[in-house]
Amino acid sequence: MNKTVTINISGIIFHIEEDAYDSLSKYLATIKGYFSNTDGGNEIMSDIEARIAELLQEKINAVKQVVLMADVDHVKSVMGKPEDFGGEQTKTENKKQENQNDFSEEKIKRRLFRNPDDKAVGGVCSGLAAYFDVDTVWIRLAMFLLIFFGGLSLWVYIILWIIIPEAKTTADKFAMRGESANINNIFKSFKDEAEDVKNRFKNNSYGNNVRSNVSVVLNGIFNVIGRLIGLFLVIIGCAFLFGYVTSLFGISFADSNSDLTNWKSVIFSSSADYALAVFSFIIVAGIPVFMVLYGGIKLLFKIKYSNRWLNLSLGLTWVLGLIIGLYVTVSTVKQFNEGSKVKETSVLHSTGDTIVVKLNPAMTTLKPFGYDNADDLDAHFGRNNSDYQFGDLNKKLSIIGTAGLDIIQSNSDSIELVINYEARGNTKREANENAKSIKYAYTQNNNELIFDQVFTVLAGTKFRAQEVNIKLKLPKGKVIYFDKSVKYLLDDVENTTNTWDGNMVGRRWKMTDRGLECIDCEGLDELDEDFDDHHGHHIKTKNITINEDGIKVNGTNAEIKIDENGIKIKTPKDSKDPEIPEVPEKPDTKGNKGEKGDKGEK
Amino acid sequence: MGNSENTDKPDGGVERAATAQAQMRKGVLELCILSILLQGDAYPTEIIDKLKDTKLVVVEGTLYPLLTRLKNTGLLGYRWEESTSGPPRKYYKLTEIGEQYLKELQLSWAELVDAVNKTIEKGKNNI
Repeated sequence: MNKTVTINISGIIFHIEEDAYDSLSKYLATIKGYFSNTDGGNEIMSDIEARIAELLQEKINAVKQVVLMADVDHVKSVMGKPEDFGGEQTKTENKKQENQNDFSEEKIKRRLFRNPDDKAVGGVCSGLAAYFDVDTVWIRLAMFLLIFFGGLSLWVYIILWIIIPEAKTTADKFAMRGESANINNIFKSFKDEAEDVKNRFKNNSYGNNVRSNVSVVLNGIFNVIGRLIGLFLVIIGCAFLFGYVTSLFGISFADSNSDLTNWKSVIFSSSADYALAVFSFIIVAGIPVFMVLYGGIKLLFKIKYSNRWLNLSLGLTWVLGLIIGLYVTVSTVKQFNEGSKVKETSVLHSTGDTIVVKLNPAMTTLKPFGYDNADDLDAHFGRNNSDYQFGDLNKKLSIIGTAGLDIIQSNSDSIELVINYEARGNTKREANENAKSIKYAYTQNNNELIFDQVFTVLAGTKFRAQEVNIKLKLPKGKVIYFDKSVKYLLDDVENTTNTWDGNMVGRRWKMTDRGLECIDCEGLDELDEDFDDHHGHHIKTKNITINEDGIKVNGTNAEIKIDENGIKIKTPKDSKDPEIPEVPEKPDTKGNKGEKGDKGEK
Repeated sequence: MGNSENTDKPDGGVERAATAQAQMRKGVLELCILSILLQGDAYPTEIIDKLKDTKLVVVEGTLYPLLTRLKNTGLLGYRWEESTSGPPRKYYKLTEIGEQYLKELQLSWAELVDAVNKTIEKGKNNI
């Protein structure tokens, strides 16, 4: 009883005895070795295989269904010795190939192929399975599971499908399985190659030709290095791919993420521009990722595959993507080309020496206009101190920005308020239009200035770096008090002590020759708005003392004392301005809202 | 050098004759294949059968690389035809360039044969 193997030669199935199979596979591998470097080698191989199939078929009939050793010998005698085939080659070439041939007679080097006989899609998985000597099921399972990691395996599969050749000829199929089983997996093959190099170094008798010996050794070294580089590239490529796929997911989720959607719709002039930008990203980032993986896999598995059309078309597509990307970038950046500033100056008539600056929260500003998400916005600006947000005004997207307040010295004796509405645009004219689309308001209530935290931009207007910068010109000698609410409104306010905006609030500042000077900050340096009350009872600063005796507050103009004797309030002079002014529940006038006087362009 | 090589190996003469015959066969093989295809399209096995009659080809394997090379240089074209017994057959045919090339080859072959024959005759007379 003899074991038979089923093989497929040129699309015809043969049952062949095992020893005959071994003989035939070696024979084909030898022939393949001869033509591997010849132009059209694959074609010659498949022609020869077709003929062998024909010859074998003649030997088979209804009674004798199995190919025997004798049949293979017959085939060999008809086809001739492989060394007789390469008639066109010169003698030296023949010799070289004989050397290679000796090698391949011993063992058929395993190579990576796609397996056309066992395929679900492209035969990639079963080809890999054959290469790594594992069951196809595991590779397929891994591929399937990796789909859920951002479709990672889908991409890898497509690349493998493209670059791994299909095992077309029977010799390929033998090489795919590497029947001699010298190489069980890729790491073994690493070792083999390294061993090979070592042996050739040691075994100087191998070749009397020193030059060819050196080149063989160098080849071996390059092989090992090439594979290591390949492995490295594959790892890098996978990381890139992961990042790429993740960002693609990010882009596609942008449709449901309001922030990103809002930005894209207010920055790009049209949705077509945005589509082009995404398209360009997919190409410009995707192709290099593909190429890294492609090159890595080729080096790792030593696949000699090059497709000029693939390279050319990928290169051209990349350039195209780059051009589109540049076009979109340039045309979008051009929208920010020109700047325009609309200036609104008003003179304030104040009754007292102290100006109190307060904030009208975003919610209060926006609610009357019917913004749907005004509550959220207030929380947002307070928390993140971010410059821009989006609001829905009657279902229309509207940009909401935070205004900035600066205090400078006035040239005259009067308090001046300058509001700069700034924006950019493709042309001066457009920039000016954009600047005019900004709505901002403040209210004056005697010596109280109540600024809106936010400005709005006419719904439907694109984001063109709209800004509102307020400059309060304060004459010398005037005192300004910042309410704690204006913490985020202050924008780099210069002062003599270089105090940070956030620490300027809750204090009174006097305009002097040198700039704003704090007049109630003494000893407050280490005191933030929240008392650090670890000990629970004892707090002592220059102005406030809390201890067992009671509470003592030393103000500039007044003194408060609470102790066992009762409450004492000392006021050296009866001032009209209370130290901490009362806040009226509702500002009396809203007259300034939206009005712009004294408009001028810069 | 050539002389010394001959004298170094006593049995070199026989080996040399065999190589020379093989070289000569290979040289004319191209001409023969093209001539066979001039008579009509054929697939490799048919070509081989005809060549075997003339003892020009001993083993079939020699033919395939040659056919592919001729095809790749544009002298031959081919088409696939289904076969009742076995895989589809590749029918080779002569292209226009191939025909042109064959004519030139025939001409130089005739000249060569003529020249060779004359030389051989002279040599015979001398013996």
